[in-house]
Amino acid sequence: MLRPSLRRLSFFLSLFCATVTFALLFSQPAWAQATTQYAPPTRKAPPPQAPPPAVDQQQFISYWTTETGWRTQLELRNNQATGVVAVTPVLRATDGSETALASVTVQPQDVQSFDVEAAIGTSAPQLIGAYGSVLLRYRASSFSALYAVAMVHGVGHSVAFHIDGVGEDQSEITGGAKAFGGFPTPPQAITSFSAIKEKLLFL
Amino acid sequence: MNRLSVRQLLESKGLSGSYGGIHLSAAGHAGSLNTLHVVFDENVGFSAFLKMFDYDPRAKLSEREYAATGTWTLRAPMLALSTPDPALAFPFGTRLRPQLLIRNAAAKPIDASLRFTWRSGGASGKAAGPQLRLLPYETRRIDVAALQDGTTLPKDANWAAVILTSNALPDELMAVAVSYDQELKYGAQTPFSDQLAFHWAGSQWQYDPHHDSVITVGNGGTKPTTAALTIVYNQGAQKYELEQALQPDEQMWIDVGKLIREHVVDKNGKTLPQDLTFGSYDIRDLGNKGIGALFEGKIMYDTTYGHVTYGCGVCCAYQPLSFGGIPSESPFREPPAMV
Repeated sequence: MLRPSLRRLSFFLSLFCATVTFALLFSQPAWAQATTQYAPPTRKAPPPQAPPPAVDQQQFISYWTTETGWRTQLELRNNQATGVVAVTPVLRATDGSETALASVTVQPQDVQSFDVEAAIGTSAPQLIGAYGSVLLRYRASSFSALYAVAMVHGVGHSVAFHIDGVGEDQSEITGGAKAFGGFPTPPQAITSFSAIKEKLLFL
Repeated sequence: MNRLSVRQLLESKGLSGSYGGIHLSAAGHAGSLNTLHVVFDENVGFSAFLKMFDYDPRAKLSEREYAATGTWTLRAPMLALSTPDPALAFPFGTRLRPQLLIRNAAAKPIDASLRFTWRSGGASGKAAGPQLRLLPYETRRIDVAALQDGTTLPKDANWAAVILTSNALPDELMAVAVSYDQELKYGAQTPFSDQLAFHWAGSQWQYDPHHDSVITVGNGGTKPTTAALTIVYNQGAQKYELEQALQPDEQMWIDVGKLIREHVVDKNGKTLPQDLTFGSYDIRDLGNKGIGALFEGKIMYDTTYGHVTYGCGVCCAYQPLSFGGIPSESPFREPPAMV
């Protein structure tokens, strides 16, 4: 979900862009008419505007696990029309310690996926049978150049979770509090409460 | 990172009941707090994701009401109805129990309305749902299966997009949609979101003997538009393009496996390779610039265990100022998706 501050920025940016576009389009007939009447000198089209320079970006995925009976797969999609994205996945353990995995290069509009446990291999045995969160580091013009997902599967049965990457909202709500709402339990009609083995909340 | 058992939290506080709301707050650096809430039962093979919504009390409706209708609107694009779509490959006779949980997170009553855009194998239509008045902090369960009585929704309808409108401010009203069978073995979810966009960058789709993917694109605006769906494959090098005009609330419905199996040609006369097994997708609103009016959804099912997962695309505001350059995309993403 868009962070609130980003939503506002998105809204006003889109509004600004739409306004500028409209102004340019609206002004075009007068300009076109002038060209037919006065045959202005031939001009080259302006060179393509370069995309903003690539800067360091980060996304976070709130959960990975290699615990017994669970498997985590990371999916990385390059949303850019041109230019590869090199992503360095970093596994954070519950104590916040970080272990970087091998970098993954994703071609424009391509998607790459890999198994977290296989990527850990023998390099970080302490991360086998563990869980934590994922940090994805990459360089791109914009945050949304990368779409990242973790698929957490229960091995051998129909249990799977799709967890999207998110950014960090640097802003804070006045008063220093931010609230989330959700539903702590499933609807009564689809299960008796006791039938559900586990309900977990990750912070 | 903390991993908490909600069951233990409830039991430690002596709370009873089977559903309700949860509220988290942080004294500082709230923007750095991320949450995930899941339920599962390995014994029966059940899992569900209970979406957490950001709540910003400063948010204005004008900033979040993308269709400019003046009402807080949430959409869930793919609610599996009682009679499962055969494309989901659930065992014959499986009956789902589609339900909605709608929560008023505000300290005031909220009036809300439900409407549905349903579809079955050969038909589609619109239906008005119940009018609701939710008391402060109330969570209401709506039994959609009961609405499939032939008067509100057809008994044999397979899918519905659910549109929830209200007089609430952004995220004061939130909802979750679930649809599982009696034993919780088979089912699917679809997330509610307020987001409409000009451009959606989709995630991975799969198609092989054990998987298939269904993608939908809807017009959440008030005027007709045209949606363009591009299936990207072969490491992003090749594209398959479809376009469809959409009336308000109308949806484009794409079974990727069917496109491959039945050699369906795209707008350029191209077909997808028969051995194609995965790729990604991209959606653009050809009728709107700026904010755009499209919503989208995708499910992937795995016949190995019968589970269906969904994934949302990333919405991207288009920046038309980069004339001649690559379309740049705003640094925004959408939504925490769920299973």
